[in-house]
Amino acid sequence: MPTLAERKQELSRLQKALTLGPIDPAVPAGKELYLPFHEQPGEPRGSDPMADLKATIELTADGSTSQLFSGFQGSGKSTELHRLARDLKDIGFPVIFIRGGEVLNLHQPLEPSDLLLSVAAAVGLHLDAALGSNPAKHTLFERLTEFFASIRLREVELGLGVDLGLADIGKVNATLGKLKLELKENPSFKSRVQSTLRGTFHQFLDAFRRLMAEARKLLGIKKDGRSPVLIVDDLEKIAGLGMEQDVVQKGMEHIFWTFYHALKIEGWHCIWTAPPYLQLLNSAVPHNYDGCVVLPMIRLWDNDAERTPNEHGLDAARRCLRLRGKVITGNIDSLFMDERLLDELILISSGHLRDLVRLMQDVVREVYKRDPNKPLNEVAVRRVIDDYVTDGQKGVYGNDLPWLRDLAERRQVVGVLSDASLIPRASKLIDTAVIMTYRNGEEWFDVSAPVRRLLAR
Amino acid sequence: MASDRTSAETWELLETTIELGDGLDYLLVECASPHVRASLAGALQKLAARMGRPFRVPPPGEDVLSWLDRERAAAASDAGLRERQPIYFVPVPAESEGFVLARLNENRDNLVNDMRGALCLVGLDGFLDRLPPRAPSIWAYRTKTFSFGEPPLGVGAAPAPPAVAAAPAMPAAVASSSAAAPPPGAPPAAMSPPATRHAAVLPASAPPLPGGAPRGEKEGLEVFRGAAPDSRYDVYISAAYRDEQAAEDLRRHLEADGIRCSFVKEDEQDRRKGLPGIAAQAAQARFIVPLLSPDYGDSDAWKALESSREMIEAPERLRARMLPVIVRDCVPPSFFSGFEPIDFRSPRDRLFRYPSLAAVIRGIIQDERALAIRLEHIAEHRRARGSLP
Repeated sequence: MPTLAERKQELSRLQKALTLGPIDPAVPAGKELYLPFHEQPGEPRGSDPMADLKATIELTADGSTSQLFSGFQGSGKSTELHRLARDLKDIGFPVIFIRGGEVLNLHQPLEPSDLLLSVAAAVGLHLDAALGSNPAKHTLFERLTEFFASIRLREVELGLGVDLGLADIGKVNATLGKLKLELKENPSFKSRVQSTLRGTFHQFLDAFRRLMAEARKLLGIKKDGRSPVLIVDDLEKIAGLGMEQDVVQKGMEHIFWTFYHALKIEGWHCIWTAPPYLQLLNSAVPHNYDGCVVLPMIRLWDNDAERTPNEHGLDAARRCLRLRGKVITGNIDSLFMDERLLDELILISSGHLRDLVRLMQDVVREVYKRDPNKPLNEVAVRRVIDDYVTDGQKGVYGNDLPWLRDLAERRQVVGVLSDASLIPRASKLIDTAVIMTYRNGEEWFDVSAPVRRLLAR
Repeated sequence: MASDRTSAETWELLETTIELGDGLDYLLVECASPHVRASLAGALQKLAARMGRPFRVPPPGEDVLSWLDRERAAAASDAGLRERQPIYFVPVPAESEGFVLARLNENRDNLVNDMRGALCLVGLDGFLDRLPPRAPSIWAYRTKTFSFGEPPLGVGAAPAPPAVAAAPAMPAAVASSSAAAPPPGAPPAAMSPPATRHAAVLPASAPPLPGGAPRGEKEGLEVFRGAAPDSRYDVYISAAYRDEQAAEDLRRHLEADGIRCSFVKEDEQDRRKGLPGIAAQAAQARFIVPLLSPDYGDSDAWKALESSREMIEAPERLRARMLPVIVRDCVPPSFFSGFEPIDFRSPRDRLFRYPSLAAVIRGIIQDERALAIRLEHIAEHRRARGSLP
C-alpha cells in the first residue's frame, strides 16, 4: 500500500488523467486514455461512427463529398475526429483540420459567407506553413490576392479602418492571421463581411471555389489523386443566448439546409460538425449530404420503460474509467468500497462521457479530502451523486416537465414536439444534455438520469 | 443549494478542488448573502496564502470584466504567474449578472487558453439556477459547483475581507496573497459601492458624475435634474463618416444590451437644421460617445459638438458626459486631452473593452435612477414636513 503522500500524488495524477477536454488518440499520451467504444462487446455507442465517414471518402477517393458529423458537447466528437484524421492520413489522404473555435465567433449568428471566408483563411494559413520556401508560394500569394479582390475585402477593410495588409503581397501569413482574428473577434468586421457579400454570394462562391481548386493543386494533388480532406470542428458549439438563440439556430439551419451546395467543394472531401438540434429543426437536412453521422451517448440502459441496465454499456464505461485510472495503485476500483457504487455513478451520468469523467473527478476529490487510502462508502458516493443530480436538474423549467415526461415515456421526439414552439426549447435542452440520444440499432431519445429523477417526484 | 452539505463540508471540498486543480478550473459558487460571500473571499485569501498561490480580486469599484481582462492579459504574458496557479475571486455583480455572464460565456475559451488556476465565479442566492441558461458554455465546462448557506467554518463567522479592500489603490495585477491584512471591519472589495466605476475613462479634472455619492441631498438632487432619468437616450454616438459602420455596430450592441442609443448618419442629417440639429440630438442623451479617429476632428459630428451651446456655456458638464472611444490611431481634438479613451483599435480590444464601456454606462444609469428615486422620496418627505417648497 502506498504511503499517504504517495497516494496523494497518485490521486493528483489521476485527476490530471481525468481531463474534461478532448484527447488526441493520434499521440501516445492520448492513445493511452482512449477507449474505442465501437470495438467493445455489444457496441454500446453503435458501430464505429468514423468508419461510415471514412468509407464514404474512400469510395470516391478522387472525388468530392460533403458529410455531417453531429453529437453533444462533451460526447467525444473532437476525439473521434482526431482519430479519423490520423486514419485518413495513414492511407494517404492529405487532411486539413480546422478548429472552428479558432477561426469563428461561436456566439454570433453565422452566415455562409463568413463561414467560407474563415475556411479560406484557415486553408491559406495551412498552405503557407506547408509550402515553406517552395516557389509555389508565389502562386498562393497571387491566388489569395485575386480572391480578396473578387470578394471586395478591401471595401470591408477600408469601411472599418481595419488594416489587413492586403496590399502587402509578401506577408500573406500576417494578412491571413489578421483576417482570421478579425472574423473571430471583431463583430463589426464580421457583420460588414456579411452585408457586403449578401447580395453577391454567387460571385463570392465562384471565387471561393477557384481558390479551393488552386489550394488542391498547391497541395500537390494530381487530377486523379486522392482528394484532400477538410475537417471543420466546433461548428456545433455555435449558440446564441436569450433572444439571439433563435436567430443563431435559424442561421445554422439556413447554412446546412439552404446552402448545402456551398458546403460541397469540388475536389475536396468535407466533414462539417453540425449541432445536434439540427435534426429537430429540420429532419430533411441530412438528405442533402453524402453522409450524416451522429455520435450517441454510451447506452447504459435499454430502450424499455424500466431502463434495464445494459451490461455491455456499463462494462465499456468501467473500462473507459479504468484506462484513466491506471496511474493509481488498485485502479479506480480501489476508490469504492463496493463495485456496485461505481455502477451507480456510471448510471447517473446517462452515458455522457464528459459528465462521467466529471463524476469520477468528484470521487477523487472526496477520497483525497477524507482518507486517500480508504475507499468511499455508500454515503459518500451518494453525496457525489446527489450533487450531480442537483446540477443536472438546473435549467429545466416547470413548464418543460409535461412534455419531458411525455418524451421520457415514448423515448422519441415524434409526436412529443408536435407544437413547433417547443422545438427551440427542446433544442436548448439537447444543447445542455437534458435530452440525450442513444443508438440500439435505431436512434432513440431519453431524458438524462437526473431529469428522470425530477420527473419521478 | 447544491446538496445537504454543511458549509464546512462544502469549504473542505472547495479547498480540495483547488488543490487538485489542473489548467484553468471554472468553480461556480453560490453564496446565500453578501456577508457569506465576503467571508468566503477572506477564507480563499487565507487558503491562497497557505498554499503559496497568488490571490486575485477586483479592487473596489472596478468593473469585473475589465479587471478580468487585465488579469487574462497578465497571465498570457507571464508564464511564471500561470505556473503559480492564482486563485481568482470574481464576484459577479447582482445588478448586471446576466450581462457579465453572457460576456464570460463568450470568452470562456480565451480565458482557458491564457490563464491557469482556479477561477471562482461567485454569485448570490439563486446564482447556480440562473447560470446554465445565461452561460451554457461555462456550465458545460464547469469543474464543480458549490453552495454556501453560511460562512465557511474555520475562518470565523465574521467576514474576513480580502486584502485588496484595504488597499483600493493597488492595481489588481499586483494584488496577491502577500498583501497587507485589512483593518478590522473594512468592507470587502466585492461588496463595496462602485465609487470609482468610471475613473478609467474620465479625466482627472472632470467633475464627479452624478453616479458618484452626492455631496449633500439637495446638491445631489440638483446634479440629477436633466440626467439619465429624464434623458431621451442613454447614449449619443458621435462619429465621422468613415466610422459610421463602427458606430452602427456599437449602437447595435448597446441596444442589444438594453441601452437606448442615438446616432445620426451623415446622409440622414437634417440639412435644414444642420450642425445645431446634431447638437440638439446629442443634448438629449445622458452620455456622448465620440469615436476618435483621424477623421473625427474634421467631421460634422465633432463640429456640431464644438459649436454647441453646452460647449460654450458649460464645457465641464459636457466633458462629464463624454465617454470617448478611440477606433483608429489619431491625435484627437484638444478638448479630449486628459481623457483616457477606451481603446477599440484592435478586434481583441473591442471584444474585451466593449463590456466595460457598456457596464460603465449601465452601472451609472442604474445608480442614478436608484438615487433619483431615493432623492425624490427625501424631497417628498421634506415637502410633507414643510421644509421644502
